[in-house]
Amino acid sequence: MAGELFELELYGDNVERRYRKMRPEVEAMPWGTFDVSGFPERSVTLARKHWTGAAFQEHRTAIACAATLRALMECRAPLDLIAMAARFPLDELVHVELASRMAMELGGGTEIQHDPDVMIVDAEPQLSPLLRTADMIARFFCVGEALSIPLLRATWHAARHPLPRAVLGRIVKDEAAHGVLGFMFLDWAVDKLTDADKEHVAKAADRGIAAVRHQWRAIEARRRVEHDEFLGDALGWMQSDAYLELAARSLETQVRKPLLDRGIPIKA
Amino acid sequence: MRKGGRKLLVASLGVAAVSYVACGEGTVANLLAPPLDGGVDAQSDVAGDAPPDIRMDAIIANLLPPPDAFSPFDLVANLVAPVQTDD
Repeated sequence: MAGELFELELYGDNVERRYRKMRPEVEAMPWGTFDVSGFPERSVTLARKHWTGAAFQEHRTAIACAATLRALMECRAPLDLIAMAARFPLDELVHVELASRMAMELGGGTEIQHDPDVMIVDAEPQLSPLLRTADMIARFFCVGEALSIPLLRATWHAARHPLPRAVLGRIVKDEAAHGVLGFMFLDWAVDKLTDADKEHVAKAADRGIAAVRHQWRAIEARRRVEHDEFLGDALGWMQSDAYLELAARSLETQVRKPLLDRGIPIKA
Repeated sequence: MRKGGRKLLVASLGVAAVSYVACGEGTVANLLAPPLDGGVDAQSDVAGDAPPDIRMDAIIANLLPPPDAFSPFDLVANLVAPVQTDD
């Protein structure tokens, strides 16, 4: 199929005013202060590409949060836990806007062609509502979001300019709650899961972990040929050796150990 | 009548192009970083050596990957976009 270009728009008028009222911190950030004239064009293009990719990724994460939210309701998870998760799609949409505006601040988005029908891997529809939810929770939250917290914090600390610092700081604050939801759900659900269910959840988590490790190998290889650490960090993007080392440590402490502690027999 | 709409993200066509779209049998989407200097045809350097368990067309054909395989789209993690090809 032909891809669709990843571009985004705002409705404006009262709809945007209501949105701004919900999240006033976005407009309070120091937009228009990032002068890219001192940076090589190649580095700026790379930063534009990273921030455009980040907007796409946050867009995918919003879809994953919405899909998981529906599943939480279908399996009748505790109402207050669902309410906590109900905020996440809006958080992710804010992050989409922040990353998009960072790309535009640096000169504009770069080209991403995508298939809107294939943005996340859904859980198998024939599974029970509880197991469908646990499958998505394992991949999207126990792996993806839990791992994000320490990595985002490190990236935030590495950013030197006030604008990317403000953007990353906002994302770090929001993600704190996202990173713990998965294990809160498992704490509630684990007694309801059979051994076979736990094996299924473990395989889902293993697939997420495999995808993470694949991503790191690609980052490591790519940074050798295209990443200038000094410029990259100045432009709000961290891909240093320290980042990758922290990622490996965090996978152990924030993902693998908490899953094993809850009796999810991961192998990855 | 809506008056206040505006673009939030506008893409520059051909700049650092990336495709997450399957192009049919035997083709995988190219998520490798393309050259940054000048226009890029994202389909031209299709990663034919990608491992079979992460072929994009397999993802398109079946959203539920085999139990022991993984898809880059199994994961959502903040800020870092999915990668397709093994390095």
